[in-house]
Amino acid sequence: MHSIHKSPGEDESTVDRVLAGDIDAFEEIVLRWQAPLLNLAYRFSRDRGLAEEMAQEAFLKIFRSLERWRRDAKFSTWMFSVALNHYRTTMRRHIPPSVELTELDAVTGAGDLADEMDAVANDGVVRRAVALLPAKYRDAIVVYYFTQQDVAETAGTLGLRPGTVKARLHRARKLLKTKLRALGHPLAVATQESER
Amino acid sequence: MKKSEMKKSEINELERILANEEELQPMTGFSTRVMRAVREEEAATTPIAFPWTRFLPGFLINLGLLLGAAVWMILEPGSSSPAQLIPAEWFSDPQAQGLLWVALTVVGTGALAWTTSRWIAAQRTASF
Repeated sequence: MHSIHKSPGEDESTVDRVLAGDIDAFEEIVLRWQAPLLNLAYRFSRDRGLAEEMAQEAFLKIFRSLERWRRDAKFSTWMFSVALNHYRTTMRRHIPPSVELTELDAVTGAGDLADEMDAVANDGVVRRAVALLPAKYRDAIVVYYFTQQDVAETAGTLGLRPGTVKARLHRARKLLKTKLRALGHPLAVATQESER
Repeated sequence: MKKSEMKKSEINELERILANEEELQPMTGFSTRVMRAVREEEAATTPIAFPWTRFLPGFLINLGLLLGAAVWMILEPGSSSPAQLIPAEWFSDPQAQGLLWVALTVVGTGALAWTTSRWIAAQRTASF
């Protein structure tokens, strides 16, 4: 798993060099953060090609707005929030890969996913279902798990209070469960059967 | 299994799925492509710095002339029209005075155009 917790001092000195006119120093930031930014983009798009494109544009936006980084926040938190804004805007123009019930029925025949899909595919359905959540819940879930369940970091990236993040995560999980149940995902189906 | 336990296990399963996602690695040349775009962007958007060192002397000279003319007009109340700033003995003919002003304007405009074009050419040479 990638690490989003890197040395903040390195970032700060690199940013200083870029701002002083050493454009080539920006490559250090790209090399240091390319994997996290690509993975964050992929969690929104679920499309590798689109994720690369989004991450590249995010780096350009970060480069353009480096002067606006107020040093009261960690560079990574600021950088992820810039990237996140770009990813949100891009995703408004792109329809995420659908996991609608009708489509899954067509793939699995009878719609009984528990018999037809293996564990990897089931995990993929959960992840793609996240992309179909309303934007504010999707963002909370994506950033929370991307930041390795760090509520404070998630709140900083999203520009929200930690309490709001927790509330959105709670609501997001409930919505996700409802969506998975509608899709016939074994995780939600098992829960539903046990509740009867 | 108790309902609450099931919910907890369900959440744990969700946590496992969402937290353990396989990491993608950028395609070869990703950073090179980003840096190429960054350099293109930088070359395209570098603003031309305002030439304060060239602007200020001219501005101060003009300001001085303007203030001098104002003071002169105050000290010489009969010389309130700009045309009278030129000593009357230079030209007895008012048409000649008008020609002088036209000539000054043409020379001033030419000098401004020449300076501007030289400055732009110098900036272009510096950026390549």
